[in-house]
Amino acid sequence: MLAYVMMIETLADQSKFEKIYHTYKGLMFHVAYQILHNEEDAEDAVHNAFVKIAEHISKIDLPVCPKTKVYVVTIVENKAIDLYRQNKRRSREIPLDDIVVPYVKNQELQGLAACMEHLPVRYRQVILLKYQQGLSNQEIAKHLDISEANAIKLDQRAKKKLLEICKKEGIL
Amino acid sequence: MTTEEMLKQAAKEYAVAIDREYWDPAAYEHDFSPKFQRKMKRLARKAEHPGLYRVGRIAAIAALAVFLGFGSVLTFSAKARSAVCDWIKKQDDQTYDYHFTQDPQAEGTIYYEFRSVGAESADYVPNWMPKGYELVTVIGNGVGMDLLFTNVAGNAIQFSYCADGVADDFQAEGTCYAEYPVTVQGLPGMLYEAEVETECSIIIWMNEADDMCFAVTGKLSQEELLQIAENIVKR
Repeated sequence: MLAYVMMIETLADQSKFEKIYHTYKGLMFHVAYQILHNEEDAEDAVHNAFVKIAEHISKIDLPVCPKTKVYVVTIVENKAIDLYRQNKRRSREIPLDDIVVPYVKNQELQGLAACMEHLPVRYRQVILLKYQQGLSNQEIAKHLDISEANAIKLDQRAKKKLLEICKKEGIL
Repeated sequence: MTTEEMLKQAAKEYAVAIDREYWDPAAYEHDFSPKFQRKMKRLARKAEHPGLYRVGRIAAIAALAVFLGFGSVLTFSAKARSAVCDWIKKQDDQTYDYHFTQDPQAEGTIYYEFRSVGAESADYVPNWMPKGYELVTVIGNGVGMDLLFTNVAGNAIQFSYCADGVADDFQAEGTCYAEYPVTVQGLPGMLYEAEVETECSIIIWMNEADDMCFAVTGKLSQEELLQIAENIVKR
């Protein structure tokens, strides 16, 4: 009658998960706190992110590398924004596509990176997951807890929006 | 540059910027709360003892299934309802073991064994019940609680909750239920509406953040089940 999903199956994946946890938990809290401004909520977002990471742990090659760092930052940001919308009961008031959160505060970005910074956060997440992490639309849907159709739609909108920003900034 | 190449380049350049921004992850220290650490320990247990955890999950889910089935029996079986009134209580130090027997005279016939913990021990309680229903028993099921409500007509409603990651993902299968995805208190759930009169309808929902799973079962309408579920409060 009832079925369940196990999350972490192999010893190698368990070891990877532990390394990711110990290396990035503080950074993940920092990213979540920047969005939620509440310690308990930020911890909840970090926990939810680790649950998601555990589900997809087999897809991660190296636990400590720039690619994994970007991945964990993207996932925790996604979870923090989900929680922000739930907590504030603003899911209908603030369209997800309109939320813009800058990641990069200590550098002057130029070119394409600057355009990425101006993207709504959901679009940026999709572009990073697809073109930097190499995930399929189906995998992106699972990571963001949306349907595959929605993931495809988001991908299309993200491309369109980035092109618009690039043209506005004179990159293209 | 094609759009595809541009997107890859944009993602690459931005990833480099993120890497530089957070170049030293160790610089971001935070003393996580005991609550967070408990939740992470549970997640770590899944990592360290997948086999054991799997068994635990199966046991927990089986327990949930048993309790849901138990609720169905109580609601429709006069014999079972009668037997519930004949729990055989045995005090063992400071706890009570309750043995549910079909025939009060046949003390050796044990069908279920639960531990009564008292209504005050329930962390979650319904704030609303259909008119006429009263709480008759609270039973600890090892991973949560079961609260049984009955009315004078002998109908029963059971509210159950289970902790410790009982169901990150589950599904109920059956040919006599119509399934409806529902939202309970903003959380995802499923409503299984009985299509035959001899079965109870069930609403199940999960709070993934707290690793909790909830269920209400009874011969009730969709609206009644949802109203009970929406009015479950944490004490």
